[in-house]
Amino acid sequence: MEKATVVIIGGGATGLGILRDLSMRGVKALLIEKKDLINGASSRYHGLLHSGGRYAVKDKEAARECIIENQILCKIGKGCVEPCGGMFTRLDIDDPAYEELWIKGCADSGIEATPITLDEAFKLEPRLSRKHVKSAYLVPDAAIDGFRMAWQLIDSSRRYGGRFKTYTEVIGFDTVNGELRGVKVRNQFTGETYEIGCDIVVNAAGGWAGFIGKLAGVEIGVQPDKGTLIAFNQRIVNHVVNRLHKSSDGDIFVPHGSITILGTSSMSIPDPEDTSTSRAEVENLLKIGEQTFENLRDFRILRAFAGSRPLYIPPGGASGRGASRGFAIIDHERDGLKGFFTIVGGKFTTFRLMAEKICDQICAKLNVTEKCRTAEEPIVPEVSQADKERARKFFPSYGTELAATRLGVERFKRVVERLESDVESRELICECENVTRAEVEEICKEDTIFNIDDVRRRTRIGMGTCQGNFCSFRATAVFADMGGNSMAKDSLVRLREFLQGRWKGIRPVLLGRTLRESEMTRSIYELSMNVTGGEPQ
Amino acid sequence: MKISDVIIIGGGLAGLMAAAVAANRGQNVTLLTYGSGSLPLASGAIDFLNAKAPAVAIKNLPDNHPYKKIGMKNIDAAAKFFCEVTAQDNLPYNGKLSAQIPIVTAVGTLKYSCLVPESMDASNLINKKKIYVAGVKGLKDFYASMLVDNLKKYFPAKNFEVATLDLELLGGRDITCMGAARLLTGNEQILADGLKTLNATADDAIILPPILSLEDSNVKSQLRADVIETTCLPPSPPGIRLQRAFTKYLQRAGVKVFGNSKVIRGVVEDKKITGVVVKSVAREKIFYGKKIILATGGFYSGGLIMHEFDKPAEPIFNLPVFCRAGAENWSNEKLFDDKPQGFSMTGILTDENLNPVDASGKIIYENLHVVGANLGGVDFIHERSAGGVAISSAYKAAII
Amino acid sequence: MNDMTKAIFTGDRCLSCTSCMASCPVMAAIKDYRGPKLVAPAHGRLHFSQADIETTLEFCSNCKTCDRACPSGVAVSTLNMLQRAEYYKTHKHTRAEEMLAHNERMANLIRKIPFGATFANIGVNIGKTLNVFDKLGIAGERNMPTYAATPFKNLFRRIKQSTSGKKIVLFTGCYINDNEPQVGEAFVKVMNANGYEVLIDENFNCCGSPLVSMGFLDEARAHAGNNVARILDWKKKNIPVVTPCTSCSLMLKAEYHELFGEDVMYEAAQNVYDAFEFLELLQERGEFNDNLKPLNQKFLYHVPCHLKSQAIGLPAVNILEEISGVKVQTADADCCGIAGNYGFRKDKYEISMKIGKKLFERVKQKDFDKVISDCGTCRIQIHHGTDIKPCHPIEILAEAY
Ligand SMILES: Cc1cc2nc3c(=O)[nH]c(=O)nc-3n(C[C@H](O)[C@H](O)[C@H](O)COP(=O)(O)OP(=O)(O)OC[C@H]3O[C@@H](n4cnc5c(N)ncnc54)[C@H](O)[C@@H]3O)c2cc1C
Ligand SMILES: Cc1cc2nc3c(=O)[nH]c(=O)nc-3n(C[C@H](O)[C@H](O)[C@H](O)COP(=O)(O)OP(=O)(O)OC[C@H]3O[C@@H](n4cnc5c(N)ncnc54)[C@H](O)[C@@H]3O)c2cc1C
Ligand code: SF4
Ligand code: SF4
Repeated sequence: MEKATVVIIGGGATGLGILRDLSMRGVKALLIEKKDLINGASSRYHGLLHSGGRYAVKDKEAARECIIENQILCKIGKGCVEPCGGMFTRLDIDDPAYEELWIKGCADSGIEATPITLDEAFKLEPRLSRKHVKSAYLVPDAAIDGFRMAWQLIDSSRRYGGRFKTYTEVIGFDTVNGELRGVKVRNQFTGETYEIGCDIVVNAAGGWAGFIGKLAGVEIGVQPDKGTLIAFNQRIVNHVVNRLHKSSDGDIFVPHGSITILGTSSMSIPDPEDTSTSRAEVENLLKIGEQTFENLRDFRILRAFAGSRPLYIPPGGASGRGASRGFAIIDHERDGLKGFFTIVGGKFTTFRLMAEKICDQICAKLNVTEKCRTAEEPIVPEVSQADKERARKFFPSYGTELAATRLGVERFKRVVERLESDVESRELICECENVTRAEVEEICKEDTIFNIDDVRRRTRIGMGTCQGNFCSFRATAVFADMGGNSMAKDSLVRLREFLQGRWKGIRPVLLGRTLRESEMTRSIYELSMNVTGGEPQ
Repeated sequence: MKISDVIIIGGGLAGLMAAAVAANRGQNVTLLTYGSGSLPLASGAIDFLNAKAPAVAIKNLPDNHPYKKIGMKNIDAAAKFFCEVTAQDNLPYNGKLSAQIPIVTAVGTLKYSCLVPESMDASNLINKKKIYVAGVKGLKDFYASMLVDNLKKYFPAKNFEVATLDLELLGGRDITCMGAARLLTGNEQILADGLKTLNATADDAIILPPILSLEDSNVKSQLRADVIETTCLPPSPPGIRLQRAFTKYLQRAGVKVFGNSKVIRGVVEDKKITGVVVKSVAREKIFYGKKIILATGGFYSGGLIMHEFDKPAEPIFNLPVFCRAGAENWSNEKLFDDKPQGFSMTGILTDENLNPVDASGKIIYENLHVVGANLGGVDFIHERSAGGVAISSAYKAAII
Repeated sequence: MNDMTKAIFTGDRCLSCTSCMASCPVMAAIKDYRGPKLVAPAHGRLHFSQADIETTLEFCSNCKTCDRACPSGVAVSTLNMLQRAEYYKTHKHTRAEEMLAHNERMANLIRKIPFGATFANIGVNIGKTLNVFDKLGIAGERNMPTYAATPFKNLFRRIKQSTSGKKIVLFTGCYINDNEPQVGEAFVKVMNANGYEVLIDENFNCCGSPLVSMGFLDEARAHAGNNVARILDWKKKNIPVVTPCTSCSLMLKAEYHELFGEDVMYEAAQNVYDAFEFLELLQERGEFNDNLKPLNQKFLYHVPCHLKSQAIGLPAVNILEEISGVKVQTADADCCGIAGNYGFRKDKYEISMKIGKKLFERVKQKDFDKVISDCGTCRIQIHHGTDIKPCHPIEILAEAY
């Protein structure tokens, strides 16, 4: 039987943070994720590395945590963080009294909030509404990329001996006399079930934590809270732009690389699997968003997506926006189950802190005295300037930096070598996000890649302007050629399933220029390619 | 003030066809268009209907279908005229409306269509002993091994061989099929010579990406084996060839073709359009005509627009637009579905003469006719009739 | 004007449809250029990540064929030119670029020397023989356009016109002023025949088109500022500005605003007309003088790219066909390849000739009496590629009065 000292359930930021922390302390840990890594909230989120400004009035504790973690992540996670800075803007319709509270809150929480003139604000953010914006402040918000953070955390964990399995679902537990002995898992593709022995299980299943609790027979107060976001085709903003008012829907714009994300909403849902989005939600976000940016509707929307916050509801607590954004660690020994821990709530911004706290408890249990080092050590070494220079020679322009942070030192080196030696590998599979064939090939070869979406999450193919119209065909072919498993050869199925995944996020925004793009998608793949293989009736 | 007999708005397949037909009938034609339309992207094949025998199936369509309004006689005549135009440019098309011809797609499935460029006709594959699939070094967008894997499902017993030609494409930017075809236009011998090295016989076929010269290819004539082009990702050389064939026809026929000319509204007198206004740089310019054909395409080409949900519009004449309103009717959960997509059914409804009508069936402008992808009520992609409806509606509008 | 019409915002409209890639003439000629879509709109989305330069941008000729192919209204070529200017913020111009961008400066310099123009022409030829061009990075195969002994502005003072209440200002453009003053003379004759008195504004600068395409954007911006102010002055007096050079007219009418995005530029644009566009408007109003001598000739008309971009139809064809006996056939052979100063660069010469091949072949069929084209550099290119000397359509019209 396969064994590990600690099994972590859930490949979100929290689980990955724990895997890294434990591995660095020398604990044998294995992470189990039912789909691909960051299947949950950790990629279906806004990507704001909070300065804490958003919580400065309501929850100073959370605000303080944010600013400290913000500074740590800026230091250790360079490649994942875009230090774009943040701006809080109060509109004419917002309560000026709140502004006063907020300034004080920031000061109390140690968040530097610098007032700027409106002229300065418009210079920094030319598209802001000149009509509505009444005051503006700069704060140290940043953008953080969930995808890159996940790959870096996993690379770091692996270096310290951490292991993980994707597309493996935890379906039960093995307990003997109230003591945990192992987890039962099922391979999602083969349906095969087997057991993994362990001393400790950490339930880091985010919005699913309650379900995991049920499997183990314990009650956990976690409320999945769905938030919807829209991705725009371009950078509309240079900074994270927040509304300076009591936190509400649709009041934050976060620039991410080539795109901008607007969100979000808050809606309690029974099942975090529900990542559906609707026209009504999109419409609502746009209505609010255009108060800050009048021309918002002129910008092309790529897609809508949703994720579920794992809100922790202590017995008798509030839900939705009223719920705390703080986190909770539960040692279920209190429920008579030894060796079972749950960690819920929190934010992406605080995942490292959350991991540190729970790992301290686990290590105490295991008598491991090694201290947490995750705050000091950069997650991954930086790609050397020399390698980047080498890449620049062959790499299409402006993509080098992005590829370097996506790939990490070793993969990047291999990709550059391939670019140098094989001219054909320099072609762009994804022209919108500048992803080379060499990079796609490198990823396709990895043993954790089972479909084109897995490639997408690691490379950004299919996430740009054309939403897969061109790259899906190419990537499918490369995967069919390079992929190490039988799923790769099923190229038409892979292609259709990938395009279907893109379609899901497009449907709720199927208007304006997106309609044009979709007409093109259908024409290419139904008329020119007949990807369904249909015969005349 | 010069008045054209016909002004055609839109230079896609439908607009080009309408202009060709009208000019052929001796009319003074002006064609106003902007952008290059969907032909540079399109496969080049003209689909008529997803049926084994479209000619029969068309007769059984409901009365409100555009084909029914156009009438079988005109549909036949359109197909015939279309083939004449292309033949004049040495771009022969094969096929008829009573059967379907298979084409090999870039992914290796077969696609079926009624009118197919001769260079893509794969009817004979079934009789071939050996099928060579010729990839090209440095060519983007052609993946021979995936193509073979999928094509084998249709021809399990056949012998396939993948070959890679070196056409000296490497060493610069990414070369797509269109890029290769353009570079090979006028320098095709290297391709012919490369294919000869395969030593394929008359019993064999060579499948290759659509990279034959954009004009007067003579590769086929140099080889004994059949040479069959596949479809490809846009831009698509077979689509461009078709566009060029029509453009040249129009030049010879004296049609005034003005590109970059976006029509923004009409000059209306009673129930007639007497002219159309083009947004030229810095000012507007009016073109006058007796008859107007609207061939501005669907959403892709901007013939239809929708900035707010459930409020589609036809931006030039503000014609009423049929639309399946409501999120649940607008699109299907599945992208590739066995029922039509609501949004693709958006468009303008017409009467028998392709005059636009309102919801009550009343004609809006007597001398305005709507053709091509901006017609409403049907999902041309789903029913595989995009090209067929485009050329036959254009034909009818031009002869009325 | 809405912000969103400025070139920089149009990148967001790109659908990645590749139509521009299928149309760019440079891409058909060489393998090096990555193509419009991958440069302009793509760069617009991604440039934030690093200050990298798209090195193949240098191949773009600014012919604007891509803009016309785009179904989405992306100002592709303008975005390219904005990026080119960005490039030259950190890179030095070569001497060839300096020289080719400043024809105005060069001509002024030459004229300051006594008998300058004659010397210049000799110098140009000697330069060619001694390979001076080559060393400068200018295509040695080319004949430099010869400089007229007297620039049009000086010639103009000698032309006798009767005063009229109807006036227009002629924007001569550098090429007509320095190299082909006869086009200016023809223009004056035509306008006079139509009852217009022609004025000249000595304070106009070069429109800036060669500056833009060589990446001297700040200088072009200064030219634009001056010219726009002048045009608006004339506008106040209700006097339109008219030019027979299609690159100048495109610049004044559209590109200033696209590039620099100021409302006044759009306002000024409305007072600028292409010569034949203006005549066609007269015709529409019934004010065109159609008392024309018959002229039994057939013309092959090469429509300049920069005229196609103006979306005004083909007014020259329309007007010339008013002359009885005249037949105008369009060459329909795409871009001539020279694209202003592009084809003068040593490293672009071959590309430019490759692009022009189709047109040269068409011209060499010689099934006409004369080739006409509204653009000075198109005429140079046709002459160079075929040994057949074209003229401006306004010269034909002038003959008929
Ligand atoms: C719309 C939205 C916007 C947000 N914006 C921000 C923001 O801007 N900044 C910020 O700091 N935070 C933000 N958050 C919060 C943040 O995203 C989450 O707090 C954080 O990502 C949670 O991470 P997690 O690892 O706990 O959960 P998740 O990322 O949800 O991970 C749980 C994982 O468990 C897996 N799993 C579930 N069941 C099983 C099983 N049986 N077996 C194996 N695996 C299983 C799931 O597949 C999933 O991958 C946002 C959240 C939402 C929803
Ligand atoms: C990728 C792809 C593959 C295809 N494959 C096939 C196939 O295999 N078989 C098949 O039968 N069909 C196919 N088609 C469809 C077919 O090409 C088109 O549906 C058909 O050509 C419709 O033509 P159209 O002329 O109506 O519209 P379009 O081709 O879209 O042309 C409309 C034109 O009008 C212009 N226009 C729009 N508004 C204005 C205005 N205001 N002023 C002036 N001009 C305007 C546009 O710019 C455009 O040039 C395919 C299409 C695509 C995109
Ligand atoms: S301006 Fe001309 S050369 Fe430049 S990208 Fe466009 S089409 Fe190509
Ligand atoms: S033609 Fe226009 S929309 Fe299409 S790829 Fe080029 S810039 Fe983009």
